[in-house]
Amino acid sequence: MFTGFKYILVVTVFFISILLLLPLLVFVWDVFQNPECIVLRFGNASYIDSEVFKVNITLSYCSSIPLKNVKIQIGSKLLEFDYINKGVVYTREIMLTMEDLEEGVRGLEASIGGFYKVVLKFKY
Amino acid sequence: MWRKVIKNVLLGVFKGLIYYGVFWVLIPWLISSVLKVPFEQPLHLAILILGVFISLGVVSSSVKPFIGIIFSVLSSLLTLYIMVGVLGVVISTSVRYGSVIVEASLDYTPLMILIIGVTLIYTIVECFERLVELEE
Repeated sequence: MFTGFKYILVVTVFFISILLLLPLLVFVWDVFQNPECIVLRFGNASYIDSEVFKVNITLSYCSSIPLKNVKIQIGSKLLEFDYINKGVVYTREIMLTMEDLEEGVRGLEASIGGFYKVVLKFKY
Repeated sequence: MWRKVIKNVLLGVFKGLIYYGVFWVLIPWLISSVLKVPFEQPLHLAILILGVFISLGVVSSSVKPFIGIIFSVLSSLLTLYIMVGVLGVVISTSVRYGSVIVEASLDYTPLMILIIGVTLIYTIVECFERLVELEE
């Protein structure tokens, strides 16, 4: 009586699993193909005073799976992007202190395709 | 009589092996190969899980169907424990990249919700199936 339903359930789950895994697989593949997938560049620094300076940060990304809610920790400052997509260069202006710059990028948090939250912490 | 007992025991062992194979070997292997992160599965825990799955399978096939349902549900609860308690929903690793140590963690809750949901639905359907068999 329930055999048909069981088969339908298994097939449905198989396809949903593939759909759910696909963004993750593509992201992992893209990152392993290009380890420098997310590139941060600092430019146009101008001093506000002896401690603080303004800097333009550009972010580029290589994977075809977009990243959502991207948070990048630079020293004590947090840089946020709602979405980042492949091939688009994002620019943000941020105030940094010398201490922040010495500490460098401490971490990155993002959601792969809006499904899987990934957290990276860097220890120098 | 003996033939029926042996048949039930073999069916139970088969069920136990299927549960073990799917939830202790296949799913962790799949997650591990997709994310390229090794899973630590201690041998003693693997033997214990295999033993419990086979025992529950054998008991659920050998006892009266109405009581057998309880042991089938216990097998499913054990799979849920493996999913949530042993594998968890966050996988983490650390890699050295030049002079930098990168600690990475990934939360794969959506996938786990799907697996847990399906396990629950499958268990409920199996219970109904057995109840229908009992009535017939």
